Amino acid sequence: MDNLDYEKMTDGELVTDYLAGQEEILPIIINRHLKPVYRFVFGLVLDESVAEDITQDVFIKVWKKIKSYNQEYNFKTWIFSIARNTVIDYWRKKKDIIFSKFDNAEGDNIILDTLADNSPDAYEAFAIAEEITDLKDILQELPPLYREVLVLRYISDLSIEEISVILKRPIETVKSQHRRGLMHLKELLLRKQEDK
Amino acid sequence: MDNQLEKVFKNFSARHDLKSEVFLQSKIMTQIMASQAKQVKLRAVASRIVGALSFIALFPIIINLFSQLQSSGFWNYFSLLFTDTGTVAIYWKELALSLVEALPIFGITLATFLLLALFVSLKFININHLSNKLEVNKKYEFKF
Repeated sequence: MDNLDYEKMTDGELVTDYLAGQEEILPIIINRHLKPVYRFVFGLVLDESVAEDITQDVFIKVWKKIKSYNQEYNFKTWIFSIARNTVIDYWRKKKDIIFSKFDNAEGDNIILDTLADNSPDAYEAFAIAEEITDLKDILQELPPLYREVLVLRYISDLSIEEISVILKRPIETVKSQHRRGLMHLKELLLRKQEDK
Repeated sequence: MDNQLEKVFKNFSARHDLKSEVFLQSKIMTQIMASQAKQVKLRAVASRIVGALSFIALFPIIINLFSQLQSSGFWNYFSLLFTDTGTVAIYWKELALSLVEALPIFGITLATFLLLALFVSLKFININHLSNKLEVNKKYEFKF
């Protein structure tokens, strides 16, 4: 089979054929998911060389665990879950993340929760973001809990349902964290504008 | 607003995108091949050790098994099957029970386990298996 034929196959079909013994399919699977995984990892760690190393580890783990992959689930969300866990392992080793930021996923913030994010301020803030040369510093300040939701939503183009599978959180929690994340981002962007 | 935000993130992502996809992909494949080769080597070494140990252990176990069969009277009951068929036909239930009781279950289980280990390790020692694995590794190089 030629590479073009493989391109037309779904992830599930590729994995089935790979597990059936067609080992030459592995590079096709890697190639298909390399950039999305790298972008997601970069969005979290915000360092290019670290993101490359982590992406490499992610695919080694994928290769090791592919036999245990349950084909009832979406392959993309499975890979992203592995990527997320690998990033968390990296953070744990680095110990630069306060893990309570992850643990308190349900932390109540009624004001932030009830605020709608379509206020004129929000539009203004994101318009500023377009002018900002690098979003990196802003994302760095955003708590990882919100950063991962926003990165999965806007860089990886995943739906709220897919994000809830990857993060193993209820859909409502993800929606609320998405909303809060946007609020935080807006605040950070406005602060950046004031600093300018 | 979602579109605007998406654009912001996309621009950011594009600015920091992967510099060399091929390079990272080949790094990943090289590491996978190295791990695969290591696994094959480890499996081969483990198979050889298990194979050798089970082969060595099999002799005393089999000798012991035969002596246990002798001492338990198994052979005596067994020979009745061919010498006294009339009595066997009448008392077949009792004879069957005595035969089972005289069987050295532990020795038989151990010998079967060792034989199984020997066969499994022989399967892995197979040189063709190793060369097939290496062939698979070669395949990857042409698919980038």
